[in-house]
Amino acid sequence: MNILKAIYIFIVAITMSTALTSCEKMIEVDDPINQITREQVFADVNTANAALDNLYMELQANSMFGRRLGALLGTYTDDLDAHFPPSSSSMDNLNVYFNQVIPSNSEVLSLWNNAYKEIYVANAIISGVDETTSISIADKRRIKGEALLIRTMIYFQLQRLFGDIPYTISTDYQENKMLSRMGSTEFYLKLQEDIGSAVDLLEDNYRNAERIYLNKKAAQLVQANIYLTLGKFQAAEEACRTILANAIYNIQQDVSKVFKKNGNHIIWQLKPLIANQAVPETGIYYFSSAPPPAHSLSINLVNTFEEVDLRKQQWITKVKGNGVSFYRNDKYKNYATNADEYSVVMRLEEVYFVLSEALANQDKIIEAGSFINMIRVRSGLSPISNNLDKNAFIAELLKEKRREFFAEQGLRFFDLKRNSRLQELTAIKPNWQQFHQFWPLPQNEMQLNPNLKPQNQGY
Amino acid sequence: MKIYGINGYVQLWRSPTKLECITCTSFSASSGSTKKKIFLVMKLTAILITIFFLQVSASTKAQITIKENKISLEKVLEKIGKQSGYDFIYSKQDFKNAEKLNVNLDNVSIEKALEICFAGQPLAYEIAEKTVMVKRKKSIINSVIDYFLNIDVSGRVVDEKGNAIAGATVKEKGTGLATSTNETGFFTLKNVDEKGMVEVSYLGYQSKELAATKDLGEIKLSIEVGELEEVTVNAGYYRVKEREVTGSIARVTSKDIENQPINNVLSAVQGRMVGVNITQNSGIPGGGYDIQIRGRNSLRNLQNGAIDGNQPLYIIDGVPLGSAITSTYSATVIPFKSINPLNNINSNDIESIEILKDADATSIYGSRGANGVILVTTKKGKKGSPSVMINSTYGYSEVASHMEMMNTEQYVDMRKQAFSNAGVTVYPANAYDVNGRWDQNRYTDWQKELIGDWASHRTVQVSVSGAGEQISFLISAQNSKQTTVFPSDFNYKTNQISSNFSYQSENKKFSVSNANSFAALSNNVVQADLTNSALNLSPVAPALYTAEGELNWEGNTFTNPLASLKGNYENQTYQFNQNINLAYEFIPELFFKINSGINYQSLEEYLLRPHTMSNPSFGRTSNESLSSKSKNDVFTYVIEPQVSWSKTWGDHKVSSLLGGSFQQTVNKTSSIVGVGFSSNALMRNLSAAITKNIPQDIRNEYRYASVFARVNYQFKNRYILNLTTRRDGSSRFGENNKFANFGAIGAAWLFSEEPFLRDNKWLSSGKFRTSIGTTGSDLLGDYQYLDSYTVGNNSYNGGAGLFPSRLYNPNFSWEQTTKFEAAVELGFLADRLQAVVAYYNNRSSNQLLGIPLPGTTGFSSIQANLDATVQNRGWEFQVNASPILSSNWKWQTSFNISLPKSKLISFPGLSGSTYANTYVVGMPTNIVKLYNYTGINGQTGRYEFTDFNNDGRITSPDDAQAIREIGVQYFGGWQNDVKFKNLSLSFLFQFVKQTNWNYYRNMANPGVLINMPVELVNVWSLNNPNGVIMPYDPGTTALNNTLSSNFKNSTATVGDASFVRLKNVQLNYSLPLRGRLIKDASIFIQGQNLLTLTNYFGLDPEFILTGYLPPLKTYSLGVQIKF
Repeated sequence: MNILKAIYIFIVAITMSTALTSCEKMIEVDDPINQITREQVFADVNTANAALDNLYMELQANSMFGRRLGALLGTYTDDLDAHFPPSSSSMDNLNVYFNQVIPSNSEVLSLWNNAYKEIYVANAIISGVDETTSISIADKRRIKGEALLIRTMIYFQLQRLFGDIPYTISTDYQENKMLSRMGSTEFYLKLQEDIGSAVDLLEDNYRNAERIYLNKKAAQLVQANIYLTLGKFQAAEEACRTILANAIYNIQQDVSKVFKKNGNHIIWQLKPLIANQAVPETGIYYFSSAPPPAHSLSINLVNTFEEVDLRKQQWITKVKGNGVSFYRNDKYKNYATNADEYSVVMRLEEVYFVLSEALANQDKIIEAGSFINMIRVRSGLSPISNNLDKNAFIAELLKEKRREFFAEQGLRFFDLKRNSRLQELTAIKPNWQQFHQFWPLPQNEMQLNPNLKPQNQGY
Repeated sequence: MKIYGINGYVQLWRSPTKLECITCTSFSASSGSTKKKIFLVMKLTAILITIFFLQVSASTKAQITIKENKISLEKVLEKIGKQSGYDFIYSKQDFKNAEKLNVNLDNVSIEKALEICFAGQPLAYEIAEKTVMVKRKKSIINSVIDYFLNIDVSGRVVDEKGNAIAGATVKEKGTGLATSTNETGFFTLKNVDEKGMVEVSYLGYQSKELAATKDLGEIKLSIEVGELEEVTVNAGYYRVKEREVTGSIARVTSKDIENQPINNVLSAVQGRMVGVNITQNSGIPGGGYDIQIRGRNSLRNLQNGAIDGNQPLYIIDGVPLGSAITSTYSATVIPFKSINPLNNINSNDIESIEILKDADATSIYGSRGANGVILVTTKKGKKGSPSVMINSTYGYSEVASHMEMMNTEQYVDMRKQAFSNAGVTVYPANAYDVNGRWDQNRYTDWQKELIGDWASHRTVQVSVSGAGEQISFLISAQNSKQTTVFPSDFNYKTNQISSNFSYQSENKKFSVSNANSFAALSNNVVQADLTNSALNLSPVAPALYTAEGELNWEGNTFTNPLASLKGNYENQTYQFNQNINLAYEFIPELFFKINSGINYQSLEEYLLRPHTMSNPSFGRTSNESLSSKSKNDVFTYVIEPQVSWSKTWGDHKVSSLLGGSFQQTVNKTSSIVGVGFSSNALMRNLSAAITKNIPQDIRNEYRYASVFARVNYQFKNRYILNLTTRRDGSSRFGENNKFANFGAIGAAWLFSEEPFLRDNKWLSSGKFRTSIGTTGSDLLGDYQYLDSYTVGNNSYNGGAGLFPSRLYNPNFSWEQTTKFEAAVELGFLADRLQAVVAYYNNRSSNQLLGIPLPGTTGFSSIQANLDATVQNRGWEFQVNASPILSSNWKWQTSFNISLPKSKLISFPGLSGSTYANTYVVGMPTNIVKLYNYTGINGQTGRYEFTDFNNDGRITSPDDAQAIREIGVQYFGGWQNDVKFKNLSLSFLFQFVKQTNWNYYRNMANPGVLINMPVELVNVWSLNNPNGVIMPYDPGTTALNNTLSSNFKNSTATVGDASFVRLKNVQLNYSLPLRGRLIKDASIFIQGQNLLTLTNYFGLDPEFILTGYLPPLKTYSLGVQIKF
């Protein structure tokens, strides 16, 4: 019996120790099918492009471009009215409209978080292509250029919304979690450097005929806007003229086609994520009966149009309900099926306005007026008066720009701010205060990163 | 002694000296009269006594010689009797059919002679001493007749000192026939089979079995020291006698689980287990539970991460359950999308649930035991004749708690005041409730309208079970259907089939058992929980439907909450579980065992969002209808070979276990989203969608391997030492961190066994136990150490995007928790009073969690080990008592209370970390930092807060310095079982002392178009300085908005959320229908969550996330019949 027992114990011991030694092997697992390593991504131009595609997807779905900032800043300023029935979920939206943004506002937080998430992805792509040797130089330049441009665009918007903000080109979370806010002087130096490199890296030609990816001219428009904001009017003028010199762009003479995807006036547009789906803007602005469930154009905006203005006829629709009239933003028409509309983010008309403003600031009022007039004439209006002083001209320019770009990209807010005219909003926005020129940093962010202190003045 | 005589003669043949003939006349089988039976019994007794005395003089044994042809059997026996001196007892009638014989016996033994004579006869015989009894071979009729030969058994039950025991149970074994003793200890059990066995039992005494006789006389029961001894506890890889347990194991048995109108057994366990705090996430069937076994060891929970780091390990019949299935689309209905894996198990199939808490019990599960282990043992067939059980329950449920909201007058008054406070005289266009757009005189109780329906449920279960010496089986099938409290036809259906087979070889060396279960659950729920709308909607809001029966949007002024009913969320779960356990005893006490299991879970989900859900003013068509479908498959297999050996010599006893475990889990998820349908009728078919998108297609693999060992040493049956250890490897860690070691040591001292206490009258058992050890956790999701890009959910320009999966950190390693425990277990007065006191102290360090990061990092968290130590310690008390145990009355009661406390022991670099504004060293981990609300200013009517940094402004985080705890201070339960004859009543009170967020936390600003609790009628004004809130505001005053926001982040929002809940009441009546056919029948009435006492300001104090349906109050009626 004892021998038998010894044998059994021996067998068991052998089995167990075999199991032990092969443990390493036993817990080896297959790689997941939906993930590839970072090295693999940047070893091939197609996967590197896929990483970049994801960034464009983010811009369309979650970023400040496309729909989001247009509606938010449209209600924050005087372009749009918000009609959400008050409920816990719509309160933060309504508080933007009522100019009661506070640090805990969820719209502020999601805008911030999405922006930095996209900045992280752009940084990851930039470092990925910088390190790789298996992609052609031309592709590396293009990919890096596009990522750099996207990052710059986001930083530029953020700076104008929040004031001093953290700037990072790193993907190291240890560094990024402790960032402090960068002073605007230094920040703009970085931005000018970045946009300069982007302009340098990118080419004029589009890699997709539908102009859904960024090119050099888009970078130059961003550059022009940065110069304009910094008061570098001559540099802004030069950048604009470079764009206009390119023959692939022409002004869209037919007002009804400004938001159709095929025009030569388009510099950059975002394609809907699902083929033939309506652009996100229609979901925000469309309503067929009154009162509207979400947004309508403010009466103040509608009243700035002359009756003959083709834009009023083409882009605005009156909807009556219970004896009250509401005005619908009708720039995009296809709310059900959509074969011919993409979200237009940058178009030639903006170049005209930037150039005009840059010229006016250099006291070249007449020439500045000529670019405004190209828009007015196209819109069925008479040319602007020739004998305006600089201040009056810029006032007219801003009015015209509002009529052209209402509810687009928050341009109204940035234009008023750049020209120190935000106080004009008090006329129809009773809660408006000077400190509203900046949004508060998200409370959540302030709690997680003590280095972000202090909060913006007023909040 | 067996004598047969029916309807005629019983003959006693006595040779050679005397022939006696006793005739029992007119004894009729059909009469069944007791008197006659007694008469018969008396007569036979007399005969037998005669025989006994006669035998004394009987002659010596002889050889038989008979040679005769065509002789009757009776004659042959007569001759044999003469030659041998044996007596014969038989009925003349029986011999009628006996054949005539040709007999040729030559000097043979009596046995041989009888064998030859009875060959081929319809008769059987028995030899006892020198008497031969002849009887007819039994037929069915005979068996039936036997029944009427049953006797009434009576006797008296006393204790060792001869004192009467009242209330002792006397029952006939195997029939369910039972009675109990009266005050003087006497009993009469009627109609007992003469051949049957009678069992006498009484709690705290050793049971006695006796052969049935008419008068059993005085039956003495002796005290059983350590009633616990009989109970064995499932400790996972081994079973252990309760008295020898060294670790902390909480246990609930089928008695407390059976027949309850619940979907998940965890509902039945709430309040019954000390140290185990269970919170139901939602009143919607099919959801999850938050389980905290001795507090939260991990800081990672569903609120800050994708995977709850505090989930326990589930083991079903010895085999670990694979990872839980993950839901993709249920977020709007099921809080945290959490679906509990025990939903798949029919609670009536569960024999017991054991929860392992301390290191001694859990460290054998090593890396997976940190949060406790939940062991589920399913029912097995029980010895005895096969039985069929039918169980049917029907009931109704409604929402257990309501909030009293403002009525029309109060609400309209609030709105008008709000506008007047803001100086608005002309009501704005969107103030539909007061500007005349809506009818201001309407009143709707939205809680009644939206979540006020009665949900019905019914359950039917049939099971067949039985067991012999070597084989046992149990097959059970269950079907249930439950509707919801929402105003539509939603329901949750379950079908479960399970079976259990086991076999043991005749020599008991080899055994095999196989447990199967299959569950099909389907849940069809509202698209989004309507609870929030029920509280928020204005009482004057328009009707839900127009006169034509269409959804009413009241001309775009009303966001109709029932729009969500146009869509729905559906899921179907299939779960198949198969466990095979083999054991072989090679040599005595050396067992080789293999536990193996396969678990397959499949979850299919549909989320349908037809265009009709949105306001028609948006002009949407079925081109925008959206249909999503997701499928999640989890396949797990587990193999666990084990060797166990035990040996006893003298005072020493050693038992040991060596085992290995290997698990592989493959988790596949894919989903498809279709947008645009030519008609909504096609929405279930995604191939009909105009555009289709595949947001995810995932395959994750998890492998896990380990070896473990246990050695248990006992000395003199009272000193016990238990050592467990385990080495684990998990694929969830990066290259250098895959393996880790865990271990524990436990000891117990049964001091009541010591000589100086053994003869003690009052202390019947006493044990001190303690343990210390480490456990770990690998609950963090697969592949977290990879630096990778993931295929995106969406595409741009047709190509699938790739995005960075996570912040890269390959260096995270195992989280370890060190657990210490000490406990005393005492039993008094034959264990009629038992008490357990336990103290534990768990320390988790190197915590593995998603450390929150600011948005500037691009992510919200990173997987890393936190260099901080969290302590969870607490006291647990449990008392069980049996105050009344009389013949008619029985009352058993048990009470438990747990006092957990967490504390952050150390956190180097806290102030520079992202937790700087979350935790404080030396404080509990469930604290929140808030503005300190000091009240409403008597002049300005504004909320005021402490300005901690004295900068004149209230800003976060500098002024958010007031610390409050969100969590439990103590909790427990009080269970009672009262029995009166056939009627039994049991009820359970659950109590929780806690603080939690109250209504103010998520409140809209009072005065906007949202209804408020009636308490907020008490608004501050110069005339009412004690008002609880600031003057109403329509939401347009910036200052008010800021102050209200600060208020919602202040100490005002944390309040007492303690409650006492009558968790379960069950009234059971055992029907007196017992007989040969029906073994047991009972009807029962159940109530669940019947009564809640609370001061909580909010809907229901039991919640994890607000805005979801609270637990339901249920009434049910059921029948259980056993054949």
